[in-house]
Parts: sequence; C-alpha cells; structure tokens
Amino acid sequence: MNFDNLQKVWDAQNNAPMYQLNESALHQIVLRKSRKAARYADINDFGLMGIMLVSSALLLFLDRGSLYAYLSAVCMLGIATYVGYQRWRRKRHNLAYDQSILGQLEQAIANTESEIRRSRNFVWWMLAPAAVPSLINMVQSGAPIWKICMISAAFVLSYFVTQWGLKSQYLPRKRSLEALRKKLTEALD
Amino acid sequence: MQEIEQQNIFNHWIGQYQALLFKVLRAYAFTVADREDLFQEIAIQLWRSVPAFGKRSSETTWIYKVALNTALNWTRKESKHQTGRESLPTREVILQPSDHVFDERLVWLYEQIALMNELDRSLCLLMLDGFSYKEMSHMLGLSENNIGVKLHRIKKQLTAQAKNLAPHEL
Repeated sequence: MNFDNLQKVWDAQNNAPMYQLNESALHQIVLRKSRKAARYADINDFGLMGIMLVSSALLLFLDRGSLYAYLSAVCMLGIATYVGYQRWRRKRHNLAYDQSILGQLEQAIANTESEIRRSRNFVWWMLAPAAVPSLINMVQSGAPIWKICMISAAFVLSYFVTQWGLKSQYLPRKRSLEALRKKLTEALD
Repeated sequence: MQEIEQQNIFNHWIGQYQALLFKVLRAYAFTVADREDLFQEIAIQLWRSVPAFGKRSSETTWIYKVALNTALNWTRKESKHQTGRESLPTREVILQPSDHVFDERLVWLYEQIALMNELDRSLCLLMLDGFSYKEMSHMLGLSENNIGVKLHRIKKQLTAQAKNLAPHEL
C-alpha cells in the first residue's frame, strides 16, 4: 500500500462519525468547568484585594490621625490596585489564542514566570513596607494588643494567600510547561 | 461578546467539526476515560477561544490549532488526570461510541500515529487533512523547512511500515 492509498483511507473516515455526542451534557460541563476555573482565580485576586482594602480601612479607623497609618493605608491600596492591574493583564493575555502553538506555550511560560516573580516579591516590595511601619507605630503608640494582633493577622493572611497560589498553581504549572517545551523542541532536533 | 452569541458559535463549531475533534482524540488519547477527559478539555478551550476568534484564520484552522494545543498540554497533565479521575459510571458520558465498523487500515493508521512523538502526531494529522506547510507553520510556530523535513520522514516511515505488512493484515 502506498501513501496515496493511506490518504484515501484517511479521507473516507469523515463519512462515519466515531462517536455520538451528548451535546446538552457537554454544554453543562463546559459552563460548569469554565465558571469553576474563573472562581478559583477570583478567590485569589479578590481575596487579596479585599484583605488589603479592609486592612487599610481598619488601619485608618483604628489609628486615626497617624501619619504612619496613612502611609501604610496608601501602600495597601497600592497593592490592591497592582493586583487588579495584574488581573486585567492576565485576562487580556488569556485571549492570545491567535498565536502559534509554540508561541502560546512561550507566552504561558512567560505569564507563569511573571506570576511567580510577583508572588516572591510580594513580601519584600509590598507587604513588608506596608506592615513594618504600621506595626512599629502601633507598638510605639501603645496600641492595645488585640489591635496589633488583628493587623498582624491580616498581613500574615495575605502572605499565605499569595504563597498558596505560588505553591499550588504557578510552580507546578511552570515545571510542566517547560517539560512540554523541552519535549517539543527536542523533537525538532 | 454576550454569552448567547458565544454559545451559538460554540454550538456551530461542535456540530460542524466533530469529525476533526475525534481525529485529535484518537491520536492523543487511548482509553475511553481519557478520550472523554480530553474531549471536555478541548471543548472548554474552544468555548474560551470564541471571543478571540477574529476570522483572520479559517474556522477549521482555528479549531484544529486549539484542539492540538489542548491535546499537547493535556498529555503533560495526563498523570494528574489518572489519579484524580472520577470513575466513568459516576459521571455523565458525553461520547457514545458509534456502531460503525471502521476500516482495519484506518485502525492501523491511527496505531502508527499513536506511536509517534507528540509533535509528529500533530504534523501527521495536519498533513493527512491537507494543510499546507505555510498553514502548519503558522499553526505550530515552526519553520516551513523544518516541517518539510519532518513530513518527508513521516511519509517515508508510514509507507515503509505499510509495505512491511502482509496483505491480510490490512
């Protein structure tokens, strides 16, 4: 059998569908899974933004008139804005289906690396500058222990939300995307 | 884009291009459960891709690209699926095998495709479905030269395997 015969065999299959498709079940599954994935991303993003907004409001309410409190609140609002911006950017990149398959893979790796960088830098560039001055000020001004605990808990919580996203999603995703890229590019050699 | 508009386009794609999607399934997934799983993944990606479809490429090219990309990504996550998969009887089945008896030569051809590496499988499907080197290059992100070399090898290999088989085996 030569290649032309193989081609004829291949072309003939289009007349006989391999499966009967349960379209209504498929629609339900597609909608359910799409919404579930969106919900996970929402929890991560809105969770972080919510914590920052509530913390800054708490800080302004509990420590009224203090310059430290204003500075920390501004830092936290900055973090919330940054998370919102990153979310908007990610949504735009998610629509990059018009690239080639290898291009999409590179894009996915770049996006994941940026998320990893964000999560790692979060503590040093955002959380610490917001947390340290406000806590120092609260201790110096003799704030009640429950206030210090509440603010500290908010910072610790936002740290864990970020680290959870890093360990459960981004690092494993990056490893498997890089493995796929290696597999595909090795196949070209 | 409104959800109803997205749904209409999605329904049209699923209705019109089922045969194409089944080919990808057959080349990348080899058990009933895996095919169900991969089909769902492809369907979800097609659904998400609807707003990005700007008609710069044909529907066939677009759907093939999304399906192949999903299949390639699915293979990297396959081990995770194996451990986390629900048993088939407990979930809704979306693919019911048809009663049609397939040509043995076609079954053999799919077996040969399954033996190839992931990239060659994509190239082979696209070649058999008549895509040009240029279209494949845009779809996969490889150079036309690279594609030409690989397809030449694939054709040669398939023809040699077919010749090695005794007539009664085909």
